[in-house]
Amino acid sequence: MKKIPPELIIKAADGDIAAFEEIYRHTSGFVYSIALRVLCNRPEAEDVTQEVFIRVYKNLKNFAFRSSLSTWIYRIAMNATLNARNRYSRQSGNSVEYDDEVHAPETAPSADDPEDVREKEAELARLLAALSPEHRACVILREIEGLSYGEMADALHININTVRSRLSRAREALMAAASKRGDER
Amino acid sequence: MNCDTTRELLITDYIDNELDPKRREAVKRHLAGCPGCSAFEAEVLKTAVRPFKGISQARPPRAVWENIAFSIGGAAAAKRRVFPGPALFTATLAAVIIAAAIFLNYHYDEQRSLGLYIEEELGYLSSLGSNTASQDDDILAGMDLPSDSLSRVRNFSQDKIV
Repeated sequence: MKKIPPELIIKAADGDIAAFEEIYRHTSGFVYSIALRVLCNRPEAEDVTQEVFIRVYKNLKNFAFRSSLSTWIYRIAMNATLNARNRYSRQSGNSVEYDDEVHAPETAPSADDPEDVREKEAELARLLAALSPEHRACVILREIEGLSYGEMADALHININTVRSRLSRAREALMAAASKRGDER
Repeated sequence: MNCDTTRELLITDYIDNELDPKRREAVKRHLAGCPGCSAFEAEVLKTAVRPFKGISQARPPRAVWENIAFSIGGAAAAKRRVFPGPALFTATLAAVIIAAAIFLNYHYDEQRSLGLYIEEELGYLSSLGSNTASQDDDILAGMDLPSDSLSRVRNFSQDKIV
């Protein structure tokens, strides 16, 4: 996780918008990525990102430096994303299908061939479609964001053993989905 | 270490490098002698780990930050309106004083120029009067003015000047 200097946090808490924008630049990729890949919906992901950072700004004065700011923001992001997912599925009345179309143009520029990137994103979409939102969040935190189990536990506000069991179930589901696809071919 | 324990560790802590060195070594020893668990490890890596490698973080569009900045900027401005700082208070006070000074000065000038105008007129009338009193009386009689007009004009202008 990226370390954000305490002076920057203090400035932003005092209302310095430029300092807050710096914090946003450090952490918005994570927040948006999580929201986009869990919600599978671009406008919803943008709304969640906006909601998260407005909440962060309003509560920055209460940040007590007990954990890193990134962890605190990630936790707010995970809560907001999973709440939005529940809201969204209640409104639509069914589960959300993963849409690979939402990802391809949004990712950071890459030196790879755009065709390869599109294929990778399509494969990622197929894989994540096999998972529940909680398992999806675990896999994204571990595989894409590279968080340790301890950091995942902090971000998800769950026990480290729950991280293990969710990750184990998520990977079993991915293996089962791959095996099913193999059988269908 | 049996196959169940090995696979339990393989699918999480082992491939994620979360195992302590001693247990990691124990898993490695088991894998070396167990083709079933080795195949399982290969399958986990192929279907649940490698497909995610090289996937980059998504980035929010610029409009997201602009909306956030607008929301928090508006809140900050509102806070400033409720609690004006010392600089804003001083500037407001200075503006009020300057406006009052301009207003009073304008009225003083207006009054002063009226006084000067009457004084000039009076000087002119006096110069006429200083030539001949009879001429003065004739002129006034010719103008068909009441007999006390001149003295009233003189008194009026003196009041205003004073």
